Amino acid sequence: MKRKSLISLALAFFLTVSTILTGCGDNSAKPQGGDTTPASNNASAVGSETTPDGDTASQVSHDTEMTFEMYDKAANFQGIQTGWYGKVLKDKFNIVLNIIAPQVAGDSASLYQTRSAAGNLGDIIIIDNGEMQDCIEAGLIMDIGDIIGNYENLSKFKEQIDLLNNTMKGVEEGSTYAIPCNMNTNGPTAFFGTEVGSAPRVPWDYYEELGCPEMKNLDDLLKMLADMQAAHPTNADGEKAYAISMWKDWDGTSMENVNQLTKWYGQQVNASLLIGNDNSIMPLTDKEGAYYKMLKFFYQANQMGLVDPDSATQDWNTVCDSKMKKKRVYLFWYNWQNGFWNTPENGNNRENYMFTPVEDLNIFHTADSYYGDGRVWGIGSQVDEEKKLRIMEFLDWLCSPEGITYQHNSLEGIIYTVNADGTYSLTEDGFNRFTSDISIPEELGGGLWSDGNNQVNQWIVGSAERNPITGEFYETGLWKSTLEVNQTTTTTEWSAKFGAPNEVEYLKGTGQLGMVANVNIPLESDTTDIALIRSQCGDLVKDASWRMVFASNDSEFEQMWDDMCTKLEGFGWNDLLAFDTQRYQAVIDAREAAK
Amino acid sequence: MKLFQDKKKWNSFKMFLFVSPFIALVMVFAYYPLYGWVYAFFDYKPPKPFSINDFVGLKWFISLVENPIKVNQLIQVLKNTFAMSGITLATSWLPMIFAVFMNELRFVPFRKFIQTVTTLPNFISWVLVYSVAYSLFNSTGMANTLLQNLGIIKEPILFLQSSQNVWLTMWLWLTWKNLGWSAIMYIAAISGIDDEMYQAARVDGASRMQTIWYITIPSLLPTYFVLLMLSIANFLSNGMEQYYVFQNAFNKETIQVLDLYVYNTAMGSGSYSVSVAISMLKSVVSLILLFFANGMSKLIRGESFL
Amino acid sequence: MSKVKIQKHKMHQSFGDRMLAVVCYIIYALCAVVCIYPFYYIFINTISANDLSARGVILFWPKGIHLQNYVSALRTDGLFQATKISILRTLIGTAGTVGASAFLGFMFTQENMWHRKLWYRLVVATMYFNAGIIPWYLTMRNLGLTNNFWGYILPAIVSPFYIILTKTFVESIPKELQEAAQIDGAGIMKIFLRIMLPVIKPIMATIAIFSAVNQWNAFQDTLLLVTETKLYPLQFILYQYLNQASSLSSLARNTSSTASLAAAVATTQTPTSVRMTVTIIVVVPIMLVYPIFQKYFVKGIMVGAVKG
Repeated sequence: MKRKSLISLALAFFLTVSTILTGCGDNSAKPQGGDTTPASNNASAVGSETTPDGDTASQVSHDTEMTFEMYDKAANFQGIQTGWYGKVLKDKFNIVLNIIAPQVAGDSASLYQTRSAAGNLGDIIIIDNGEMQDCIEAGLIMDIGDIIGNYENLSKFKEQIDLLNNTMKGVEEGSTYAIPCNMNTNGPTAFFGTEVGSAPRVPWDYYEELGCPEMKNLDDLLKMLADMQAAHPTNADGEKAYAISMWKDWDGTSMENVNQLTKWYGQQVNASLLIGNDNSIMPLTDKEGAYYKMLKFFYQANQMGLVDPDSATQDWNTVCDSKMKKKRVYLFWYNWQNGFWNTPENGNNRENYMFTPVEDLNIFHTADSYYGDGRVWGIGSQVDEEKKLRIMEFLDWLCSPEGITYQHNSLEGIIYTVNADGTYSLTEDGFNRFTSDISIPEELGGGLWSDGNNQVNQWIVGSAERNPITGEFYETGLWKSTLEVNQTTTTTEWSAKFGAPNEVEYLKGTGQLGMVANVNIPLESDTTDIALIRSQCGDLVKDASWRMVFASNDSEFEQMWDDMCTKLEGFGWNDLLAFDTQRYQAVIDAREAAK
Repeated sequence: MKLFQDKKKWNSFKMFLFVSPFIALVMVFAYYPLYGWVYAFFDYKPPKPFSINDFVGLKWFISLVENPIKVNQLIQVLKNTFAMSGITLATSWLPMIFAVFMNELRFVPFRKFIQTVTTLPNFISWVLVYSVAYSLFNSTGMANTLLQNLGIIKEPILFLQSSQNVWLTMWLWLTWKNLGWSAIMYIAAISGIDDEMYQAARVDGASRMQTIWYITIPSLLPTYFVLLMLSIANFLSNGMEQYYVFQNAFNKETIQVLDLYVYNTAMGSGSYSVSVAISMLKSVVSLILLFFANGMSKLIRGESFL
Repeated sequence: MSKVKIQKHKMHQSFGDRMLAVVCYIIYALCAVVCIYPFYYIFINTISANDLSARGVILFWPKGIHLQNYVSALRTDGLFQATKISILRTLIGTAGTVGASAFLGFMFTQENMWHRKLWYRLVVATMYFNAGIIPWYLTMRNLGLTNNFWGYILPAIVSPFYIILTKTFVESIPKELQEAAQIDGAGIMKIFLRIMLPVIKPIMATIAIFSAVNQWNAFQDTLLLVTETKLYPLQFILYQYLNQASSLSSLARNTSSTASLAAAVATTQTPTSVRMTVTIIVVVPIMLVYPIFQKYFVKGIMVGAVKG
């Protein structure tokens, strides 16, 4: 008995240990070499093993169902693409998309680090330019340079694709690794929108009540807002309203709310720099710069009691749901914030938020992203030949009119209908597709429209592209039919007052629209040193900015700014500036060239 | 004699064999990955493959203290950490007392109800706790409205932005969340106390307080001490989430504990090597504290707990 | 004689004792209110009209009662499978952890074990260090535990904290219990199974609760290890709702995003009521299970154990 139990015991011990040890393959990462990537990845090889004599674009069988794992930085959803879009993909290509979303993680860095360290980020990868550069150098991305020419739709964007790949480090002539996102064929300085990204917007009825005061500068704007808040201290339900309400959770390395407003004076915050639409560069900490100016704007607003005291402690959800959607905030700046209150109904009641001109504005706005918006698609280098061809087929379809229509316009008949002249109109469901629950019939995939919508959340071709079939843009907001529906009392009155059909035309007319050409330059990703400096400096700038908004008097405001600058130097701010300036110089040069 | 010794040795080894599969698991999951600490001495940035060329030695460790401004920041962070951990340690007897007096509630359904209900806060994630805190304490929230209606204050108090009493409020939230849950351990320990001792006490005419003082608490002390020692070793770790959700520009200075500092600095920027370096430092300090606590235990109670 | 003494005891229930009792009840009742109210607040907000909830006016009573939040959350794809996984994971993981903790906690009290102190210290030390996510991930990958259900279970089996708890508990049990069995010639396994297990039930119940809650709430390991959707547990699926905010912020910083895209993300933004709904959905099952464990916190298991 005793011997038996002994033997069984020893056996158990050795079995456990051996099972565990045999699990460790040759890929056990040891510190003494670059073995953290699997054998199939050669860290030094820039190209990969595609055979040039492969099939042409059309010959790929759809017999086996294939799942593509998509590492997608833009996705808001992790899991299998289901619903109507999933059905479209399954019917056409017999593929299933399994989306891996680092955003969902909340700790996206961990997911990126672990997967890339293991050498398999995904079959299809959507990441930022800078990260793509790192991945290419690490051998994680497949070279499709030899076969991309076989694909008709992708080749329409050859210029942009080649430009981007040639500016990336470690890419040889003839190799293609990355495909930019959100491209179009309109040209680098074209812009066809009806709204700019960031501009002052207030409720039309309240503005009109005050007699549409002309505003020459920010002081006038503040006065107007003060009058507006005094006239309407609460909303219709009796809840306290403020001219300005902010939130803290979107702050990156500086106060995001301020960042958006620097665009009113011709500068955009990029990391530690202010880049102007006149191609100037200055540090964020320059007192002549727009960051200081707009920070002061908020400070003065607070002195006048126009700022929501909860701004520093509330998050986006709270501001959005309990304040913006309830007309408790009077100043909007993002163009899509309008969507929270503007409806045709409110518009006809003259309540919509509209752009209000201020004479000394110099709006910074980038053209539609001809070259791409800074994110790219790539194919993982560990993918086998058959999968690669099917992915390429899929990517090409994404650039075809049919594919683009599915991505931006969804299902015919349900979301849009075809008019007699060939253009499209949104159906009622189409108008409400983001705000209400629309059921999709079973045979088209079932479920709700929003669940079945393309969860990839990124496109190779943006909606600013023209649809060859209809002659209009893919963007539903720019269709003639949509624009007609959106004409309301508000817009009519606004146009009458300001003499332009929309704010873009107005700004062009007054010469205030400082357009900036679109360029897509891959920026070097931070070295570890710089990354450390950046996060420490960023925290400092953020905290100091918030405290300055709520400073009690001018001298305290100045004092805090000066303190901040001193401390920043202690953290290595100058090194950061040098690094960023050198990085962004390429962007400035490209913009100059595109003029 | 020899046979007996052999048998004893044999038995002792046999006992080891019984636990060996589990030791093997520990080796594989906890010790084997420690090779990764090597990354702290290199400049390793995935996806760039690891290479000997990136050796940087003690660079990351030094960078934390390389100039007076950074040192000041680190000192402040450590002050916050020590304060939070110190307060928590000083009040670590609360779950025990909570369990003890809960046990004294004679009405059993009420007692079970309290026991269940006080564990509820443990299930609410810190993010949601902040949502609740926000809706109660913002400038138009319940607390301010009440105070204003009672005429105690005129202008709302911005509780969440306050840099006063940050440590106290954080400790209160922490206690609220953990008290009922931690008490479970003591409840279990109390139910393991031999009832005969209670009967003997009753026979001797002891009052309730005396029973508690002479029987219940001494029986719980071993558990309490062990947990206390473990907390001492955990001195540098306060957890990150709680402080992360409550932090803002105004209380940042006093709320940033070490774990949050590490998160804000290293994690946020994706510098893997730096986060490994800091983690290594913390581990070493924790282990030193652990053995120090063990030494104290030997001195005070005459026995080690390890 | 004893009857008289007992009666005397009853009279000893002095005024002091009664005051103590009253104070206790009041304090605990207050504690209960403080603990229940936030939970209650979350619950009534999930069944109240969402826009009222967002305004923060729902404080004591629900208004505009509707169950739409739950309906929306529960119609998520894959919820049924995720629930199955979560339940399986909780059951198996808890069983494994409790068993291992009980066994190891007991074994480490055996002073006779070969190098007991060394192994014990090795195990305890693991609570205080962390090798970093990359080596951990690579180890799991090499062991084939990625996209594998056992990746949820195996790392959690040996849990130093629970082992310490058990060991402390076992040490408080009179040594005579084990000695008696040893004199009768029982082997160590028999002692463990027949004698110890029945006696350490309270601590095992405690560990079961802690472990079950950990398994039920875990999702960080899923995040890094699993991309096979069939293995996603409940928390993970629902957790997506909680994180949809971050994509809007990075989107907003990207200046060339077209208005409709931004609006799209803006309006499918998850309001706080969904976050709260998710919390309730995930918490309620555990709360229902907890009372089952409560019955193990019963005194008197030890009575007569030694005497017999």
